[in-house]
Amino acid sequence: MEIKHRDIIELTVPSRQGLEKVAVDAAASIAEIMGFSEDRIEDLKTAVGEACMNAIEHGNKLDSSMKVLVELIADDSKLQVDVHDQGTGIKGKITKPDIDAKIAKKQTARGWGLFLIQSLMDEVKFDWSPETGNIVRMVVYLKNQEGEDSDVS
Amino acid sequence: MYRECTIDVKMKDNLVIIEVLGDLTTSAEKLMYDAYQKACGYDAKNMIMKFDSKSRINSAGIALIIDLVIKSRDSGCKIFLTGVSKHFRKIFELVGLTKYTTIVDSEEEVLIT
Repeated sequence: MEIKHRDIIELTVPSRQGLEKVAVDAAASIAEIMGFSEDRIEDLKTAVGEACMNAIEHGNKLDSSMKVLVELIADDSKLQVDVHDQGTGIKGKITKPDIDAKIAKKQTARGWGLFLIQSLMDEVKFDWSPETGNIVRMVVYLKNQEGEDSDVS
Repeated sequence: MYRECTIDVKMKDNLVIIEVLGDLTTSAEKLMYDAYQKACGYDAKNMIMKFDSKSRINSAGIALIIDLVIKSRDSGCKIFLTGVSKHFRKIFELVGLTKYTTIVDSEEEVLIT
């Protein structure tokens, strides 16, 4: 099996905890076919899992009648994963969670999802419009096979 | 493929071993809480979380470990991690958990020291 010039694979999952695994496994399968290294596939699985979990829990507020749409767009050089939910998007600036503050109980222990997505993917974009809803766009490039940290804006 | 989490707690030579099999995610929250309650009952100074090579973790799982670190620090107990895959190590380093825990190759390494 191979990925053609530009293949788009779409899947929708109901907003129920645990179903992010379906999208994770699909992304991993495509990345494997494309020739991504095991390390990069692990990065991708973590990032896609976090994005889908955010969409299910925060975007669609665990309403299983609302769908999370995952678009996997593969071409010769990269894999792009767009995760859509029907929420109102991410409010405010995304700040890096502070482990020291969390250990000191000044911050909740949670809140690592967006940080992990940004840290593990080559490009990340958060977008929202009334027409499209909330979209998290993640890109990994085949050339970055060592999993080196990428620039995060 | 994701796997359901099971957590087993036991004591070995004054070391509390929390063995995590499967994926450490939101669904493991109650299991971790129960494991910690049991672990506290041993009143040990060292605690080790033992993962299997196929375990996976997400941000909720990281939060569970942070909770464990907070509680253990309150009781003066040190946390060690073992069975940590390359990807786990990367995640732990990214979030800064390696500042508050020690990754070792095996539980024997803690028992010797």
